Amino acid sequence: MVNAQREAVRRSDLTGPERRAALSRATDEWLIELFDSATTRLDIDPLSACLAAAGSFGRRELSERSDLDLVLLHTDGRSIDALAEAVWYPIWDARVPMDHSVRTPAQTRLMAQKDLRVALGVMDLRTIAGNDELVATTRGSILADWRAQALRRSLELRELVATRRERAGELAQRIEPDLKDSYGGIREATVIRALASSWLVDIPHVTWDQSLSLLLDVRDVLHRQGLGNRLVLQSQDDVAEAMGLPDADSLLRSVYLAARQIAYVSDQAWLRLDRLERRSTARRIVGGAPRRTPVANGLVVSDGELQIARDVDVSSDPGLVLRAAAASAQHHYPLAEATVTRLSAEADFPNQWTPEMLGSFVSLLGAGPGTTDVIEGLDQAGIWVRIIPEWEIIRSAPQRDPVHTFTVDRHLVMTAVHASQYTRDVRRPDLLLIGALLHDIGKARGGDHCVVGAELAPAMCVRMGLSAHDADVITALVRWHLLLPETAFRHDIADPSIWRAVREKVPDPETRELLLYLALADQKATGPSVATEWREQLLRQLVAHVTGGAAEEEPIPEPSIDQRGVLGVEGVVVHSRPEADGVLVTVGAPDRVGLLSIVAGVLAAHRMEIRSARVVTVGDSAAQDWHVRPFFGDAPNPGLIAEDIRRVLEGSSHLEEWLARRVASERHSDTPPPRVIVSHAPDTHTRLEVRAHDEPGLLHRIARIISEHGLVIRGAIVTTAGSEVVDSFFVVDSCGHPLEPLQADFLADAIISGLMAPPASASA
Amino acid sequence: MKLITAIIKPFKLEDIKSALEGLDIQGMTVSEASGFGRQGGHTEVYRGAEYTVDLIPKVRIEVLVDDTQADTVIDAIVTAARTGKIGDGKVWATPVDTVVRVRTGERGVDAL
Repeated sequence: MVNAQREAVRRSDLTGPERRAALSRATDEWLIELFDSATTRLDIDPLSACLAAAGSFGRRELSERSDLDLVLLHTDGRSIDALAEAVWYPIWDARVPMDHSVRTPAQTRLMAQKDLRVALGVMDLRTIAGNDELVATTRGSILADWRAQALRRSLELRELVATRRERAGELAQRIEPDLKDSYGGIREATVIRALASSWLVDIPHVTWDQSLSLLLDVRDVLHRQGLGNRLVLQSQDDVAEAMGLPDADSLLRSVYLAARQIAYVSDQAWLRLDRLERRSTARRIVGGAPRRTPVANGLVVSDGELQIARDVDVSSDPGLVLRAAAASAQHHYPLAEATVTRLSAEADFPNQWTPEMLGSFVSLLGAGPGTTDVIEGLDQAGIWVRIIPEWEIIRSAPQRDPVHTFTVDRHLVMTAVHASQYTRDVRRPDLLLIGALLHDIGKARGGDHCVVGAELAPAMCVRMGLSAHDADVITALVRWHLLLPETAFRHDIADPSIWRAVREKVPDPETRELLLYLALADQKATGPSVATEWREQLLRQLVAHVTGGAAEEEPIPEPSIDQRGVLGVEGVVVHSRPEADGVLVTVGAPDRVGLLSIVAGVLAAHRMEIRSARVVTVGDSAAQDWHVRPFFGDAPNPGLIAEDIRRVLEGSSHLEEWLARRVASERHSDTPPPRVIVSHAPDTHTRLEVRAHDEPGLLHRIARIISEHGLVIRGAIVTTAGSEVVDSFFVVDSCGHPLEPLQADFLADAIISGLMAPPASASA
Repeated sequence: MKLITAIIKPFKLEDIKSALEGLDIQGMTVSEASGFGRQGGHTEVYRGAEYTVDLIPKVRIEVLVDDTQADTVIDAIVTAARTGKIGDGKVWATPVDTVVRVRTGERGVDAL
């Protein structure tokens, strides 16, 4: 009979939820008949037992290859074995896969307390035949237990989810996803429902039901084709056709978008649970309302999450979205749900970015692995495509090539994440990170994606506020991001004509260097099959051949117009004038060992963010241009800065202690260690280029280490790109000569050690 | 039957593929390899910094052929892989007892 009923559904044109419901109904009818005939034949009181469906069958989400999860609940154990045999054998004989158990309500409750999987299955318990009260009692007691021990059991559940995620990966990023077990798949829905049943967290009222329904539909098609839950590459065309979709790419994109939404709902539920646990702990330990600690202009950390500060007008602060995103990624604090909602509803994203927005953008991209979740959150809230409208087309765009691990959009984010590990290897970490994020922006648009991307890039760079030079570099990175791999793997890298061909396409050595590290990051973000040492070695050899030799040494910087005005002044003079995105502070003072360190320290103590600086020394006079931005509020009065510099010069200030406290209060992201590159201009100076992660007082510490070695800083060029700094110091010894190579190496080691030391001892 | 193995310069892979297609060879296996031969390691200079390259990146290709085709295939690979410069690689053949095509279960020459 089952075959007839189920076959009828199988052969029908029914699809989607109707098909699953019809299959569940047909199976129910068969099982009712089995149960009723067995109780009659065995003369068993039908009210003493109940045949119940659990799991997906309980939810009426039955698919053709789904197991029947059945529980035979009973109160009278005397005849239950005979009843079970009478029901189970016809099912086995019909070769329908089944998970079965025979228990009293008390036994079921005990099992659910012991085994989380059982608890999850029986939450959906549904009566098929017999005494419905047994099911109601069992469900009621299990749900009551679940709610009473919700926090403890949620920890178990989280571990279960993490193990499954590790094993089956993220559904939205798998070329052959497991629709059931991958993170964001059908099983996630069970977890989300279980969390909701705990009454600990609310599940956002969004359309994730439709997403789940789509995954179930695709699984139905797979099952109808005799396949399992994995959407394997060779079946994707057939499944797409059966789903009425134009091609496999459309199918995968729909599946990915659905899975991302389910995963996001799950992520949010877990974040809410985290918040609940934190609050519970905080109330126990300190009591009262959570502290609000400022981390950036208009942003505070409260309750372990990044939130918008009170009285901030979101719509009038165009930099807030990216500032919040950068702070979240850099400091490892998740954006509070209410903050994301507010930013989504109120933020007005300008068509022309300010320099501060560009800096925050670079800081976000350079934060390492934390970047991924932040961008995913902004994307799910619809904010990311407002920041980068060109992103829409590549969202969840599949790359149906076994070498690719990720969709196009996630691949770009992951390339930036991997590029953040190379920020010490290039002089322009900002361009490397932006290039990494945009290099495949031309994909999913038809045509050669390098060419298409290079056509899109200039307008994007203009919008971001990049200079014409930087826009050209980014465009070159997008256009030629495959040049080095294609050349290295397909041409003779020892052939000088090949080197010339590369130079003709990319004449600038720094752009070639960026291309090298972009290619390495790109490979890592593509997948393990292409991210090999073998390939890296070929790429590095090619670039070494093409570029060769030593780079031309930079001259000591010349004084600017503002600096000429303060050269040769008596005492300390400070001028300031507002700029488009901050303040230019010009300092003039008689030169002395340690002056740069002191001025940098005073500015840091005034909570000024140093964006760039240019320092020159002419004779006995020093002139310094500082492009700064206050972390909070307005810039201090220049007279106050001058006074503080004088006090430190006289030795009456506690600058070091103050800075040490401030540095210790910052949380640091996992960025690569600092690096110092030494180069020599034989007749004039030694240049030390320090590449490091920015932090309060960093420049002060570097300059102080140089001064402590009795060396003189003749000039300095300081640049900050997002949260990374590249500072060049033009140094001579006390006699005015360039450093000996060994002396320079010793100094470089001292700077690295000093920067890597714990902040308090470094500044003490 | 013979298993022909070749270690070649990476950029010669496409030329060898074309040469083998011209001989109606149905497939080959390609893998990344590193090693050194008579030329040993060498020193590179990049932007003023020297670094030593101990192992040279190469490509390893493997082709299963009937005995009668072996010499022709070896010649084709050698011709396509040759640049005349040091480090062009090596080609060798080893006897093979049995070959089975997994999908169909065919054995011997039929499985090639």
